[in-house]
Amino acid sequence: MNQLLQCNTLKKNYSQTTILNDVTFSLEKGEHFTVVGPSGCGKTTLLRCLAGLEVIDGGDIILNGKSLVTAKPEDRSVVLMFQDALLFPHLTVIENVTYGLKRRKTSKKDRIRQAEEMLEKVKLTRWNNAYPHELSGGQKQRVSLARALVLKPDLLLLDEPFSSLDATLRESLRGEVRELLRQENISSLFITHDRDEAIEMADRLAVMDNGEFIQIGLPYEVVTNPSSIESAMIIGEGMALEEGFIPLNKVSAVNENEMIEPNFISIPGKVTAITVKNNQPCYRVSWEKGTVLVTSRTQLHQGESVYLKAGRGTIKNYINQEKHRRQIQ
Amino acid sequence: MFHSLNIGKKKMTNILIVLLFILLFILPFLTIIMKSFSVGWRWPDLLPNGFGIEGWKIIFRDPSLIEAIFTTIKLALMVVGLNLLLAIPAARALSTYTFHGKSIIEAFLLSPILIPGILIAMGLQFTLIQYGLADRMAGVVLVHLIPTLPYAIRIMRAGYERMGNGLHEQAIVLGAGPLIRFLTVSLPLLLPSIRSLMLLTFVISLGQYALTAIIGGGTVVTLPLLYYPYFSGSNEAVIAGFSIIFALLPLLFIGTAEILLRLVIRAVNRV
Repeated sequence: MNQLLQCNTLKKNYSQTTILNDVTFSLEKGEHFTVVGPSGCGKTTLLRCLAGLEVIDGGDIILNGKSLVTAKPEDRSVVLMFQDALLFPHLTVIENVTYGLKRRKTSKKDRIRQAEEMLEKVKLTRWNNAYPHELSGGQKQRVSLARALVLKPDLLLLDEPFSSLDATLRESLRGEVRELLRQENISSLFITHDRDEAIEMADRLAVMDNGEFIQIGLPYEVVTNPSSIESAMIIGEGMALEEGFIPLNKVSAVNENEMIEPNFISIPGKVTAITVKNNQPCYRVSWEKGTVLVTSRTQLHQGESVYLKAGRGTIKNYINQEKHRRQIQ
Repeated sequence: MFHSLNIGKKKMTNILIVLLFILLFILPFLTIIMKSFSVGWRWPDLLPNGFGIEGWKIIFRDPSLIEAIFTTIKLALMVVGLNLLLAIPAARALSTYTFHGKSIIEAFLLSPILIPGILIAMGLQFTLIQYGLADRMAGVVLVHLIPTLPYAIRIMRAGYERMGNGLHEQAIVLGAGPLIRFLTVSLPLLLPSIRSLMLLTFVISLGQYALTAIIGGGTVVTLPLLYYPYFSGSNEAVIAGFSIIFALLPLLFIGTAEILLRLVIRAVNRV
């Protein structure tokens, strides 16, 4: 694979507040890169800087070997899909989809053909002449996706495009989007605060906190081996303790009267919900730093005080955060 | 039963609304039309004593009428055009950007509403004389901005705030430059505001007597300058005739502007 995007020490400040602090990463052609982080950590600002909607205060953005720092946003081969579909309300579906093609001086015949093909791919064939107010939320996002993909940009930026949809639709749509991106061979940078969405959409995953990338790696690697307590709390599937991270499959819940062996650690918690996962009862247990969904050998009840138990040997130490940041750079 | 009662109630409300509309808007206009063709119509007579076209004859006998109508339209078009040119960027900047001194600029732009226009015009007259703009169309156009621009900015600003910045940014990332963005996104979505701005500034400019008289110095003769002296006369048919011309001009203007704007929007937004 060839390198598509290289971001070097990106900086962005608003007044005295640092929003992006030396963000450095690269993206290969055809790669799907996801950034996950809590609200307000700088994810959207990062996308807006890449799209040219914000002027960076330092660093460089190189796309296909050329610096984008002085390029006008409308001249970049980068398309941003916003949280809302943002369809032009006075234009029909087909007019919305051909909007960008017209700006690129594609002939009328070609733009209609390309738009119709793309609408077929997003399963909206019969809606060409409908206006946005006649579409459902999911359909609007499909049109927005078609409008972005039809331009065949070098890089598609997706700013939590499914956040306004209900859970079922969100799940089905993200699968379709991933498939379409692969079919069209378009690289993507997807940002989200949803852990599951981040893992599912990513070839590679970056965890962002306070304007910095605190960990980059393969999704499985990041989820099971977070490099710091911050990373563990954002993306880790397990319990983030000060001394290290315990993967979720090593944790179980026990009744508070049960004896705990000395080579196990125990953390007090409370059962807040009972559910079924993989055909067996699971308990959502809240503890000091969050909640976990765990199994138990004994039957537990809602509201019951329990201990979360894990073998001492299962605790994975965090990599020193400073050292890890240097490795990223 | 309840359903048919509801329908009856709704029908009655609609009829009442139509009657109210006729009473408030159509009836006064019809009265003025009738008055312009009347020969003597005194209180408490329900109808005029007779009908004729004397009033209209007097209006059209005035040699400067046609020229005054053209001057008025030319002036009002220039005022509307300048208002659009100034109010659109100003409103966009005020609604989109945050910058130091924004509130001072806002207050300054709206100040002509707070100070009587005639005071500003008196003060401005000396400056306009100095720059050779007094007694000229350009000077009158500039002075007509005083009572119109603050309203124009307010109207456009409300439009931009309603529209938000999202669609604008969406157009940017899809490759639209500033002019195309304005024509394809802002113009169609701001059309209600633009329509209000054009109609309001046209009507305000059309009604200016004092400002035109002070700065125009009698050289720039607009319809009000021709029309107001007739108030001292007793021929109400003439006054009614002038009022009809006054009322028709903005309607004609807004109708033409609407057609032109829609043609432009349709042309730029084709697939």
